[in-house]
Amino acid sequence: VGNADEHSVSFYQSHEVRDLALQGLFIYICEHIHLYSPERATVLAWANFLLSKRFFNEASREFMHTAPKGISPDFKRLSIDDLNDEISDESFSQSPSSNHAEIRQLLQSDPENIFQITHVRNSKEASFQAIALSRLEERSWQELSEELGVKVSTLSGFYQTCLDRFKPIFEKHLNS
Amino acid sequence: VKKNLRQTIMKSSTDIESHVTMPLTLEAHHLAQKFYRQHPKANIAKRVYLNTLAIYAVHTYLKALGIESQLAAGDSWNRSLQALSDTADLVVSGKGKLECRPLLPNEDALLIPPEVQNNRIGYVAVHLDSSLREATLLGFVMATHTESIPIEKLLPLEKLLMSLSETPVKIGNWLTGIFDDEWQAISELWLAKSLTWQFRNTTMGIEPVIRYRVVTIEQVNHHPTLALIVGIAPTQTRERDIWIRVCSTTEYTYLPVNLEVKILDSAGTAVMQAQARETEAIQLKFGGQPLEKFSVQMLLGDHSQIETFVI
Repeated sequence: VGNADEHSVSFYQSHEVRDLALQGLFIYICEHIHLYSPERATVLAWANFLLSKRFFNEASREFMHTAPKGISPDFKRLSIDDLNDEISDESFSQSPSSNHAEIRQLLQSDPENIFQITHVRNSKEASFQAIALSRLEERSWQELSEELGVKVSTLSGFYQTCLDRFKPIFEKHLNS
Repeated sequence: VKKNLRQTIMKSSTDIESHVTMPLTLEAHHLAQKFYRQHPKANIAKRVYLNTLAIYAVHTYLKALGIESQLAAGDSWNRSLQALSDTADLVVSGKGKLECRPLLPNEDALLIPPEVQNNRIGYVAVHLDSSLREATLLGFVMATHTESIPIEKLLPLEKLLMSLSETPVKIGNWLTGIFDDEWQAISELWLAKSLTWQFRNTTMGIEPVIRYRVVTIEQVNHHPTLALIVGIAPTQTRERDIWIRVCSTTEYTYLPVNLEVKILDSAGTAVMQAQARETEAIQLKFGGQPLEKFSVQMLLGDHSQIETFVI
């Protein structure tokens, strides 16, 4: 392990293995703290012993195992900068199964005839359909509140309750 | 590499009391990217990526402490709801939903979007580093109606863990005469008097078993104490009748104005709720099957108290 950088495992990969090993170690320590005996070593020595003798091997095995199977070897994490850069990078969102368009279509067609008739009390314009479509277009709560003449907390509370209630409809029609 | 590891351990052991740092593994990023790619709108895609990492970090942390949570059960794992709502919910088995809010390196407040200000047992602030390799859990707040909470106002995570690791009160056992010590029989006459008729209409005419405990809701200036009264009675089927009543511990006293009482199902969804105006008591009645779990949440301002039961 000490020579990982020089051999087949790249630095990048060893970083991943380290993260996995630490995660395993922390969980082990939480669950097995009673196995620690102070007369034998300091906590830190115990932790390092476990890490090098056990969790590093387990993590390497797990990493080698999962990498080709579930996660492609050239899979790359995104950083916050990457996420911000992607905004201008159309190519990344590889024709994204038009999730957005499907949801909009479902909201507009209202197949169970419920999205439009469900509205904030005494305010027909503030229907679930209208609010959901606006949220999908990223309009702010403040803007919506001014337009509909309903307090933000009333609108958002109503919306949250509706989403809970209509979740099965979305699941049924959009097989998420 | 070994030297690095040692430093990491030492670093995290000194911070351990205040903050907890979790690595964001490839698996976490892989999940986040799977969701990310389903959203053509860049802002929504980014939001989903960060929310997923925050949820994953809290999930891993709870797992390390033996608290079970279900990633896929939340709205945040549903691609439609991801697009319609800025949600980062995590269902904690038998307790309710925790909202896991990501904080970016330059942010110093926990931001809570209006559409997730209800139906949460708490909001955990998850700081993400700019490389998105590490998540640091900074603390949490309980129920809130505020959109922005400065970091220094966060409560330590231990407090959250205490309430999450509490075992549910087994009220099904009450029917066989088994009680926890903290649940007392009604002794004060005036409480009992109001109850005998309030809880009476059982389907079988059997007197319900009634117990109560005193609950304190922490407020800045005062700490109102409330009685949480719970009644249970069998019916002709497997179903049990259940009564929940919240009132003041002193006679002729109104409940604090705006106190809300909610009944949450095992997924944390509010199935019943009531709010006090000028009211002496809030009472809710419902039915449930043996082994079913539910919680009673009492909210006042930014504070909330939750009690979980199993029938």
